[in-house]
Amino acid sequence: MRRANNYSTLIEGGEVPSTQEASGFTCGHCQHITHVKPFCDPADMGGLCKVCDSLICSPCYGARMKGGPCVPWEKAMERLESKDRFLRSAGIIE
Amino acid sequence: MSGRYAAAGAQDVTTATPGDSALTIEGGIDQRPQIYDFTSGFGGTPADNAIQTQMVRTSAAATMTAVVPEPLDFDDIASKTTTGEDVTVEGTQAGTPIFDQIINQRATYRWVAAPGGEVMIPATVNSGMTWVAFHPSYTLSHEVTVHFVD
Repeated sequence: MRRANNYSTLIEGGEVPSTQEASGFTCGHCQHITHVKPFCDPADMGGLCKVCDSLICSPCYGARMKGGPCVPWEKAMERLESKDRFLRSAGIIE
Repeated sequence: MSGRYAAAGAQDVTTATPGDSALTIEGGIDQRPQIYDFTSGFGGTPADNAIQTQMVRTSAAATMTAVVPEPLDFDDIASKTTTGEDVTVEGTQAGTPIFDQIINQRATYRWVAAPGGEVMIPATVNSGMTWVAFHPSYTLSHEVTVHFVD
């Protein structure tokens, strides 16, 4: 697939060893790992967030279609980290 | 300059859901560990068990046996990321799993990220990632190796 940013292999042992390979992407919002099989229905793999222009997983795409905000993972991390720094500076957590 | 490290862990006794983690990585206030490669497999006599394997974020520290991350470049300093195996008390799992698949016990699964596709752990104490497998009757080991950028 185009814009794949990860690759997986599943190596099965047994009497007839086999290897399955799949490209995929990490969701731009939640970083869920999505495998994309060749010729799969695009609706099954998620979608494209038109705000941050990143591929997103099905649950995040559903949330966006219902009017949810675009929160890229970098932004979500910055929010978590600033909350942590505030709580730490206030002495609430160590 | 960030360094690349490897950590390997095992859960000797796989249990039924919710399971016990084989490997946990916890960040800190100074760094965002970025996971770019992990491999998951199962020990014990090969059999056809379909085992649910997950990679889940955590938001609290776990009780585990410490594992020292190995630098992939010998000249790198020691990793500041806390890693551990054979978790006995799970850290609080946060959100839906990043990775969730049913994998045959005979199979070995490997995931590799291209640059820009790494899974990132926030720079907060106790934020982390854990790998857990569970099955109603499979009770042997689950083993995970992770490569990350510190």
